[in-house]
Amino acid sequence: MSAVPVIAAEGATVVLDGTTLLAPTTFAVMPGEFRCLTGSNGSGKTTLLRAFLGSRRPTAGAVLLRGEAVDMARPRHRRLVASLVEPVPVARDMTLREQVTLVAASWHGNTTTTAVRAEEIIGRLGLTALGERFPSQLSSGQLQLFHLALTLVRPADVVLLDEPERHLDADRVDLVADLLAERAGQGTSFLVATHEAAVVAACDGVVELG
Amino acid sequence: MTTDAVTEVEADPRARVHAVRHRYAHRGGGATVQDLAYTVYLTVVLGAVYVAPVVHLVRTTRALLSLESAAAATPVACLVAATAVWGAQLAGRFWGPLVLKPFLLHVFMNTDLPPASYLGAIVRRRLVYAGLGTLLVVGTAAFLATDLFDHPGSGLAPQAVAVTVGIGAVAPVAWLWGQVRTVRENALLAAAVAAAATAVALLGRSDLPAGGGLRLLTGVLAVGAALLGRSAFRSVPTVDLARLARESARAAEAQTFAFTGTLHHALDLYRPEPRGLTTALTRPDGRLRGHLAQGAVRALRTRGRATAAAVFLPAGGALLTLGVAEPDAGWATPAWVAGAAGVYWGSGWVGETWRGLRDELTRAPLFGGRWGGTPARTLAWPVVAVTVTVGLASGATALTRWPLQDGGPAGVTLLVTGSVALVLGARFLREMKTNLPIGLLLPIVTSLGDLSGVRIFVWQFDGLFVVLFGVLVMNELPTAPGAALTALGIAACCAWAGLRRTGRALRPLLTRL
Repeated sequence: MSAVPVIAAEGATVVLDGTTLLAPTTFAVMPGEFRCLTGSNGSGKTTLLRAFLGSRRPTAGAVLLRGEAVDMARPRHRRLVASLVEPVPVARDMTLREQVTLVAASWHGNTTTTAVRAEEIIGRLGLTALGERFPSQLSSGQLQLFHLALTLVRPADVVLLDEPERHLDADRVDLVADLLAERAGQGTSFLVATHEAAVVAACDGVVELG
Repeated sequence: MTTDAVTEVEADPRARVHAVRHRYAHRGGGATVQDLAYTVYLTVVLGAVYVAPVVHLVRTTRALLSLESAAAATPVACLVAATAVWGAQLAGRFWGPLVLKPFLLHVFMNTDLPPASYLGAIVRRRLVYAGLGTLLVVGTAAFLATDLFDHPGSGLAPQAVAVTVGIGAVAPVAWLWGQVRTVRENALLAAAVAAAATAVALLGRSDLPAGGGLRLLTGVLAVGAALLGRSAFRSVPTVDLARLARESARAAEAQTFAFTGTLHHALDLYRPEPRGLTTALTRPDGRLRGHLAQGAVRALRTRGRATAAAVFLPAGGALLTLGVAEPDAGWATPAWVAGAAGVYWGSGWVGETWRGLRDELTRAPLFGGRWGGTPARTLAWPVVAVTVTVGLASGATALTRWPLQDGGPAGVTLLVTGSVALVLGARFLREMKTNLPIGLLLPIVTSLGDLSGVRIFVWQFDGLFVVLFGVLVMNELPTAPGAALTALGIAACCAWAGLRRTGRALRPLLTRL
């Protein structure tokens, strides 16, 4: 295992108009580590994830990606990080399978890998039977699984997720937690903001905020 | 899967971009050959039925603008070129050539592909289309509105064509520049364009040999297009992707509104968010400020709109006054119409309270059935701001033209007052607009075909149509009091129609107000 953390926060703090959105926070996530972020509403979980995505700049301290300050304008940083933090725009005129395959194609081109990866993630998230549906024909929970499929179909060294358990029943939460743990075992790091005990139980460690 | 697992063959950027675009283009929602053929068919039919007679009529009557020499044509060409560049810059700030479908952009943004690899081809294609469109519009306008092409032997026609091509080349790159460069850089470019246009116009009227002005302008446009294009394209790789994603999401939503007949909802998406003055609505002791102060504070929270209103209202008032004060001048009616339109636009930008009025009258009340004071709360600021600003500008303009022609100060005051009342009525009508009434979709069968599309078009811009129609009617009336009374009548009709748009019975509504 490399000694350089994939992502790290060093006293990262976010203050906006005098309001502290994220109190000073320090931790590191190593390659293949599955780490959960917990804490009450407003404790700064989403703010911290946004800081790692470069959409919220820390007012003090730093957030690092492979030891460098996060800068999503750099292709290398975009290559390393996948995320489901902000709402994902979907194409209303493409089926679930077409959209997941399109994301895979953005990494693998028109190769067999594209179809294999797309079918694999669709199957793992229990979406195979829904592959020919359009987004408007999915329930809230199915949409959440679809968004997870769009996020996880691409290769990434670190995946940031904000409450992946949203709208999911207990069985689906277990399914997602198992998938994340399996991916972590294959070398992908995870930082997951969650309130769900099943996800916390599946992770390697917890960062408690607030 | 980590990124190390992606092989070099798979990671070829061109292949990846091609794969995504190919799959997206074949998603099933794109236009088919039949769709395109039907569009061409409709265009040909509409062109033959509506456009061809107009072209024939215009070509067989005297040209609107007589440009018999290069010296006369150069300033006009400079003005057209500068306006095209400014318009393109402004369009780029709101809807630039880099705007993509949100999902497609999201897919590309979440890869390590450099932005130029997936935006470059799209931008080049759009700029070519925009260039051809500009060429067509400017060329058609020059052909119809001027006599540049009436004298083939004069040598002006080839130069006019060259200038038109130059405008067609520079406007698209200014469009891209408007999107990828900062507001400050855009302001600098706009100022530089104004300076260059003025210099070329002055040179074209004075020292240069015959036709030199237009040739100089063509050269300036060619050099400008090359420099601007090079600079704008260099900015594409470093474009702010987060901002582009926001612009694309907004554009997609606006497109949906526009396609479903509610253009005003689409325009609402481009209203700036209020910023600053967060505690200014209340006095230090906690009491709310007065209606006028509240309206002013809310207007100042969107400073861009307030600034635009501060420019358009006095300018519109001055133009309006010039138009009514010198009725014998050839430019009187255009000045009156332009001034009224300027005041109309300014009146919408001067206050955010118009929207509060519509919401209070059309949505379920939060605090019981009686509203009380809604008109004072919502209308006090915009009405006072418009009338005072236009009144001051009008007074200052009238003083510069003293003594006034015809009806004297009384006549001018009546006409300006009537115009302002007309504009406020039209603005009220516009602001009370909600969703497209289904009844407007019913066909209007005439010998020229179904004209329901024209009715929907008029509904989209009803306030502006009322202003234009009202001013033209006022202009035709022989006396100032008659014109002012007519304007007041139209304004009252607008107020009545605006209140009807709330969907409530008029009498109970007035009682509750």
